[in-house]
Amino acid sequence: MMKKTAVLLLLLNLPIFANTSGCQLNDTTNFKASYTFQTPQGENQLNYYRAPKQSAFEYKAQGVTEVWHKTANDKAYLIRGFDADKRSIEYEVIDLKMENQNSAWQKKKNIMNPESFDFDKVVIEEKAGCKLAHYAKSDDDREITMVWNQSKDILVDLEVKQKGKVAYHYALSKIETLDKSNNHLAEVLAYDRTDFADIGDNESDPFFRKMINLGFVSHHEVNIINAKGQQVEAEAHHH
Amino acid sequence: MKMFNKSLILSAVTIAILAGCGGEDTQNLKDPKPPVVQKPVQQSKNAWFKAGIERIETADLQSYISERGAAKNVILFVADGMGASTVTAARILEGQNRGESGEENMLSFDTFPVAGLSKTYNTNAQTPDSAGTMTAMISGVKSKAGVLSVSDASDRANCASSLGHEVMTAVELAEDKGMRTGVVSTARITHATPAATYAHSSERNWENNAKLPQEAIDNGCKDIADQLINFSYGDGIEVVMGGGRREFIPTTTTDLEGKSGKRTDGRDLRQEWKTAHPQGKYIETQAEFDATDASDGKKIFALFNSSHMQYEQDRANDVAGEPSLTEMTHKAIESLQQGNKGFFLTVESGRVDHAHHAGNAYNALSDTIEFAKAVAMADEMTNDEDTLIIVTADHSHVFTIAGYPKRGNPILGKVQGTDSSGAPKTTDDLAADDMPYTTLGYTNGRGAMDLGSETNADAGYAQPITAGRIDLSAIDTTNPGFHQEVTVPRSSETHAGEDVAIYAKGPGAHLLSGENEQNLIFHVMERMGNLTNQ
Repeated sequence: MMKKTAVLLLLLNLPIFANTSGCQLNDTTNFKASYTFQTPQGENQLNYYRAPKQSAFEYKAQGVTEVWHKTANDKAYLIRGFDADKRSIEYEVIDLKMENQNSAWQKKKNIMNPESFDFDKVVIEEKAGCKLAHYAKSDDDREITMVWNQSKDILVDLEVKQKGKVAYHYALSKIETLDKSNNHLAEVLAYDRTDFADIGDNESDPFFRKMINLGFVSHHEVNIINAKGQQVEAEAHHH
Repeated sequence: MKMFNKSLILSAVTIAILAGCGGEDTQNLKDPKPPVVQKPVQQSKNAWFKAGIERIETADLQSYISERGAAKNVILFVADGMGASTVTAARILEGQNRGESGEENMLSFDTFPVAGLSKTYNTNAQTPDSAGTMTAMISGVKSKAGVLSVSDASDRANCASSLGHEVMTAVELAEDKGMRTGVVSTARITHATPAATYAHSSERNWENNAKLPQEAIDNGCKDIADQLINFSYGDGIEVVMGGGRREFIPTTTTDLEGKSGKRTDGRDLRQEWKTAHPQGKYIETQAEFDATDASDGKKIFALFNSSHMQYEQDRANDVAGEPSLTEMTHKAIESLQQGNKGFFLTVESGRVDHAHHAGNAYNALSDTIEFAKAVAMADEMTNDEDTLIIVTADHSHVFTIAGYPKRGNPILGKVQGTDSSGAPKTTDDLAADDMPYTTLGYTNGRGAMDLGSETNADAGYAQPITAGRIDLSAIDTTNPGFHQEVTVPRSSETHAGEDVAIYAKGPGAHLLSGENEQNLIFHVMERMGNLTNQ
C-alpha cells in the first residue's frame, strides 16, 4: 500500500529536467537529439542521431560514435567510428553477438525505450497532439522515472535514483533536423572503414596498433541498465 | 696436463677394443655373415605395419608422370593460414568428432600420395602475408608482402611503381589456352588470395574504387573488383564464387541483407557483369545456389555475403543463407567439366586465417575440416589420370600443440597426460604455476578468453588483451568460444614463418615432393597443365 502511494505521488509530481520535449520536431526520420548524461562521476554529453534504418550515438568525451544499421532480418550491425582518427570498424551481427551485445534492431534504434523497464505505472500527457508518457517505478531503494515522447518515439528524460541519489540521468537538451551542418552520422560513415575480421591482416596499420593495444572495450552508457535500473556492465569506459 | 688426458683416453680405448676382441663377438668378427633375420611375424600382423604396406601397394603411380600437359585439369586448394600444426589438430578433431581417439584419423588430403614442403617467405618478409604468397603460387614469381600479382620491382601501395611489373597468373594463362577456369573462396572474392588469381595491384586493400588513393587514380590503376568484372583473358572466368558483394555495389545501394555497398563511383558491377554475360547466372543466396543448374556450363558469378562468408560453424546464422565450401567446390567442378579443353580451378578456405588471427582454434580447425571435405569432393569428382590436385597453405600461424596429453585427449581440451606406467590419467596436468593448461595455444595474440558457446572467432578482438596464464580450472576449453592462451600480447595473433605442407596427387604430383620454394607450385601446374600451350 505504501509503495503504491509512493508511485502515484511520483507520477503526479514528475520533474522534467529536459530543456525540450521534442514535440516541435517535424521530421522524425532525420534528426539529431542532444542529451546531457549525468552520473555521480560527473556530466557528459551524448548526441543521438536517427536516419532511415540507422541510429547513431556520439560519445563526445570518448571521441567515439557508434552507428547501428537495421538489417533485412531486423538485426543490427555496427560501425564504430573513432572521431579523432576518422577511422571506423565494422562489426557484423555475429561479431556483436560474440561481444555479448544484443544486436536486435529494436534494442539499438533508440537511446532507450520504456520496454527496457518493467514500468507498472504510466500517465499520458497530451499537448497539441503530442503525447508524452510519464513512467515510474520504485522499490525499497531505487526510483526510476522516464518521460517518453510517444509521438516522436524518443526519450525525453530518464532518471535512476539509488537510495535517493542520482545514479544516472539522461535529459534531452536540444533537438534539430539533420542537415549538412550537423550530420555527424554521415561523417562517420565516410570514415576509412575496416572489417572486424580484417584487423589481423592490417596490424601494420598504426591506427589498429594504437587502438587495440590500448585495450579498447566496447561497453558504453546506452542499453546497459537492466529492467530494474541496475547497471549490467561496468562504468562507461573506453580505455 | 692436456697430454696426460690424451694418453688416458687412448689407453681406455685400447683396453676396450682388446676386451671386445676376447668376448662373444669374436666369432662374428671372424665370420662376417649376417645373422638370419626371421620374418617378424608379430610385426607383420601389427596394424601400423600392415597400414604401411597397404599405403605402398596402393600408391598412385599417376603421380609420377611428368610429361608436359599430362594433366587435363588442375585444381589448386589453398587453406589460408593452415600450418602443419593446424592440419594435425584438425585431423585429430575430425576423428574425435566421430568418437575416435583422433590421432589415427586422416584428413582427405593426408591420403594423397605425395607431400612436400613450401618455403613461404616473401621477397621482403621472413614471415609472409597472403598477397605475396598467393602471387608466388599463382604466377611463379615471389614478390613482396601486400602486393597482388606484380613483381617485387614495385613498391607496395604505389600504382606507378607497379606498372609494367604485372606477372601473368595461371588463371589468365589457362583462359588464354581455352581452358575453363574458376575461382572460389569463403573470403571476399576481392580478398588477397582469390584476388591474386585475376588482379594485378600494388596494394591488396584496393578492393573497391573508394580505397584507391589519388596517385593510383591518376596513374590509371583499377580497383580489384573492377579488375574481376573486366577480366579480359580468354572468354572470361567461368565460375566465381565467394563473399564481398559490397565491393561491387555503390554506397547508395543496399543489398538483400541490408548492407550498403562500398563503391563511390556509382557503379553496380553486378549489373555490369550481367550485361556482359546475358546468359550467365548471378546468385546471392543459398536458395538461388541450390536452384542453379551448373551442368549447362554457363557462367556463374556468386556473391553470397557483403563481406567474408561465414565461418562454417556460423553458416546457419547467415541472413540469406550461403553454401558450404564443399557445396561450392562441387558446383564449380560440375560447371567446369562442361568442356573438352580441361579446367583450372582455385579454391580457398579463407577463414582459417581469420579464426587464428582472433586466437580461436575451434573455428580454425572446423574450417580446416570443411576444407578437407571440399578436397575430398574434388577428388571424388575427378580422375587421378588426368587431374592434378594440389593442396597447400599460403602461410602458417603461431599455433602450437603442447605436451604431453594422453592418446585421445580432447584436442581442444586441457592436458591430461599419462602416469609413470604410461596409463592415461583422468585429472588435469598442472604446470609449474599449479594451474591446468590447454594442448593448443598461440605464441602471440590477444590471449585466453571464454566466450562460451558462441561460434564467431572475431569476437575476441573486442575483449581486453589477457596475455599469459589464467586459471582454466573451471573453464570448458572445448567450447567454440574459447580463445587459447598466448605468450606475447599483441592486438591479433600473427602468421608464422615456418614451411607449410604441400599435398598432391595426379600427373606431376611428385614434382612437389621435398623442399620447395613456394613459387614452384605454379611451375608444376604450368607444366602439367601446359598452361603456356607449348
